[in-house]
Amino acid sequence: MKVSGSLVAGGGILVFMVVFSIVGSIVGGSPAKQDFASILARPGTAGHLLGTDPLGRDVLAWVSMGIRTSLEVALGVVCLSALVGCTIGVVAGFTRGWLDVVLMRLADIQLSIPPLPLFIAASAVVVNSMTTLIILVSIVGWVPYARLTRARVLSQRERGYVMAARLAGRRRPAIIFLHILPGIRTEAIVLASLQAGVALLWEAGLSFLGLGLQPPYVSLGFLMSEGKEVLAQAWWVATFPGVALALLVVGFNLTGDGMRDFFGSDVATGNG
Amino acid sequence: MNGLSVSDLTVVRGSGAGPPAIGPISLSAEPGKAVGIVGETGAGKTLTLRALMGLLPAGFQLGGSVHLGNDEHVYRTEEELRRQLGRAIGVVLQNPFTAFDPLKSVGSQIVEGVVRRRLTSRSAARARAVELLEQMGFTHADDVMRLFPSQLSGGMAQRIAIAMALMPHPAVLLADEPTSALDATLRLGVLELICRFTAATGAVLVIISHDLRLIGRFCDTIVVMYGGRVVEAGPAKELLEHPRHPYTRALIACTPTIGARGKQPLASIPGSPPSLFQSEHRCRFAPRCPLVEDACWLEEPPLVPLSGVRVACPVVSREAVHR
Amino acid sequence: MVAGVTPGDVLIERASRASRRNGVLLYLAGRLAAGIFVLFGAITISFLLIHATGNPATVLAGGSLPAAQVHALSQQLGYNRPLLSQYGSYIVGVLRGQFGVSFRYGTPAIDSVMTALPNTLALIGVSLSAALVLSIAIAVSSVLSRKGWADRFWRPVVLVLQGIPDFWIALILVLVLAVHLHLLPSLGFAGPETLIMPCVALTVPMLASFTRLLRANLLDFTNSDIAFALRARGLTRREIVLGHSFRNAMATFVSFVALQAGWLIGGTVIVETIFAWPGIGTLLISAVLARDLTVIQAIVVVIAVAFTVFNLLADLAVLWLDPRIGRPAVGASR
Repeated sequence: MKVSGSLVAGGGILVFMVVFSIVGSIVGGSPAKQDFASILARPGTAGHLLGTDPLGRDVLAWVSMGIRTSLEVALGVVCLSALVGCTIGVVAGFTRGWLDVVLMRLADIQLSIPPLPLFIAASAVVVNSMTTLIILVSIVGWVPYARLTRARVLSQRERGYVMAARLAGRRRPAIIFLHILPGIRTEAIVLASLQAGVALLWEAGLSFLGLGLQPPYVSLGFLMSEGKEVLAQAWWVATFPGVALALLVVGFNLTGDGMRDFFGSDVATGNG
Repeated sequence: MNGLSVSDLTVVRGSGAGPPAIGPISLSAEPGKAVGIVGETGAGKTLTLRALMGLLPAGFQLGGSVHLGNDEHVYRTEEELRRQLGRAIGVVLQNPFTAFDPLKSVGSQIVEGVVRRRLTSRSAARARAVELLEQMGFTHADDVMRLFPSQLSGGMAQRIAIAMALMPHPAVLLADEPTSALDATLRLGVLELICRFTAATGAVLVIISHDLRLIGRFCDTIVVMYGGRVVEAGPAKELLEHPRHPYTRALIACTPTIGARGKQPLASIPGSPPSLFQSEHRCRFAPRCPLVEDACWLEEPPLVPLSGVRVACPVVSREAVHR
Repeated sequence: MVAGVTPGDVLIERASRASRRNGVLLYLAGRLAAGIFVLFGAITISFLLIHATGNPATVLAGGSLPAAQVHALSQQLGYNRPLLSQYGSYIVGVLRGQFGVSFRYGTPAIDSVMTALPNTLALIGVSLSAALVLSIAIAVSSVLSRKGWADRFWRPVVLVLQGIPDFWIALILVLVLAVHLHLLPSLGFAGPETLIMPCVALTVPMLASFTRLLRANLLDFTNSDIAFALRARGLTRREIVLGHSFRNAMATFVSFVALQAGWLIGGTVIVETIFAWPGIGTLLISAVLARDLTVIQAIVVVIAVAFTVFNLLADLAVLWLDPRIGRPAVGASR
């Protein structure tokens, strides 16, 4: 159990981002507010620390709230992926037989399908909502959790204590929760940290393309797409949300690595 | 060849304050003879082996010197010893399955070492490899060369590993528990092979094991280790028939014999082995020793000669003198 | 004859060669079957996709046509037939390479896709190659560097690079190189220099993940028991890393690269959008925005075929690298 530089750096970055987002919102005000007097204002102009976008919205306000939106999405995706993935893994591991085979084949297929075109194609028939986005991104995220949980179930089910518990009359759900799941705790945490970063990138990418979270949602990706249009005249509109996004992802990656160091080198990531 | 001579070999961790983790170890053997290093898990056998190979883990320092074969050179550093691997020093490790790269044929790996070091040409190496394999009992050595490690059984793999270690005509063959991973039925056969070979080529065999019976059967000299120290060393027959050190005695008493009469309980030594890394200077066996005295806790007992063997126990030495 | 050795040693090479061939064929057949299975699944998904919210005619109409016309449209396009029968004709069409006609252009849907495909493949080809070469160079030098200088430098750099979204890199590149420095053109596919920026944007994140994986695998092997045994034979660390760790790390690495390459087929969308690159990505976006359903279907299937091909190539590579496939153990357990 050692606290490595990565953990400190990653944790530090994430904490900084949260603080920044809170302070930034206080200073910047509401992201929806359009200040028509200062369209595309440069960073540093009065009242707009990081400038404004083509509709006069304050960049600092938008970025600060965007950070929170991103974190919400990341949290949602990680929770949903973990929930679905672990459930599938437990089912596959316990039932063995054809259900297991089918589920694992499904996982393999899922993993080899390029996610982005799938998201995009799905967006043709789907609506602008955070819930839908979270579900969509989780479609890609559940596989590592399933593999992890299944492997754990398979390795533990023949163990003495499981048999002893069953003989003592414990029902399966109790066995699962009390004995099997706690065993994957550390690996799941590492996995979650790394996945959070990936989820953020997907959300931002989709929003950038106009398919993810559009206004009234406040997304970093959306601001970047606006920034793309005015890149020559107003570099700040695209740059600041990008920096924020990069910092968040790097923060999660470092934290994930740090968690892996913290829990010891025998922690696998469950990525096949 | 002049055999093997190890003088005051020590392994120290970190800066070197306090007693060394291992040592000092001194032993010597003439060409063709076999030395057995015995000890339970935690006695420091592996670290000793790695010291002799010059492959200590990071943070450990080597002390003392080693002299091999018939050249005049005395090796004092890890690097010098390391350079002799695959040359004057051959090694057989415990796990036959992790002795090979799974992706290359067995034959290419047998010759790899000597060919890379330019000790001989590839064709000469192949010829010698085939010859060695035949002597290891393989009737179709050519075909065996083309096999991949995943196709081998444990016994086959270990015999090939031995052949591989013998390729460069080493002066010393180090064997770390060479038969522990094999079926009991194979052990004697494999050990016989090793011993016959080293005796024939004049190499010194150093076997490390926890199995006292096996060591007793095949070795000329036995070195008993405990807690990183040599507690007793001497000719095998003498040591086994008249063990002096309390640990050696206990070890022999613990060794189960098949067909022992009556339902005697299996003997064991109470307590558990000490850590190799201690800061105090004292006899490491003291906590478990039936003969312990106050003086035992104050300093490490030196290894002194006593009727043909060397023992590290002042209590035993003193009693012998009185007699 | 040494005691304990039976004549069972004998059955070896000739039998082994035949079994190797059979083993290889069996393996390939298995992978091909799996690939076809996945492809079929993707094709089915592409079919279901446009029926996910009901009759596709309604999606096409977009809510701006009266019910009667929607119904007529549905009949004209065959969307009012039973689902299974539509599925059947769809499959037949796909096998013949026919995806219907693009609603926007009136030309066969597959043509638009085939015109755009080579442009995307160019991007992928260059980025993937660059990422591969660079990541191997960095990973190997990191592992080889004696005092760890290279390693200590690259680790944090790679970590940071992996977090930066490819589209942000693209934007920054455009900003710096095109807008302010006027070094490179920023739009379209008009000669090799226009390849530079989009490829850099794509290469950087891939490079990062490749390097991390390869380095981890190389280190795993170099610190393993097997590597210790190799050192015991007299091989130097350098010889072990280059001659043994590398090959052993390749199998997982190649699988990962193939997976990434497959993902890249659809994953160039954002970068293509930024650079107005006439590839599959931009086509998909425009088709989605215009609800050009047949083109969307064609793209999904073409992407599926592409990643199936990539995966099969990876399987072939793994086969070439791993001599264990098709070689069973010989002799009794002795």
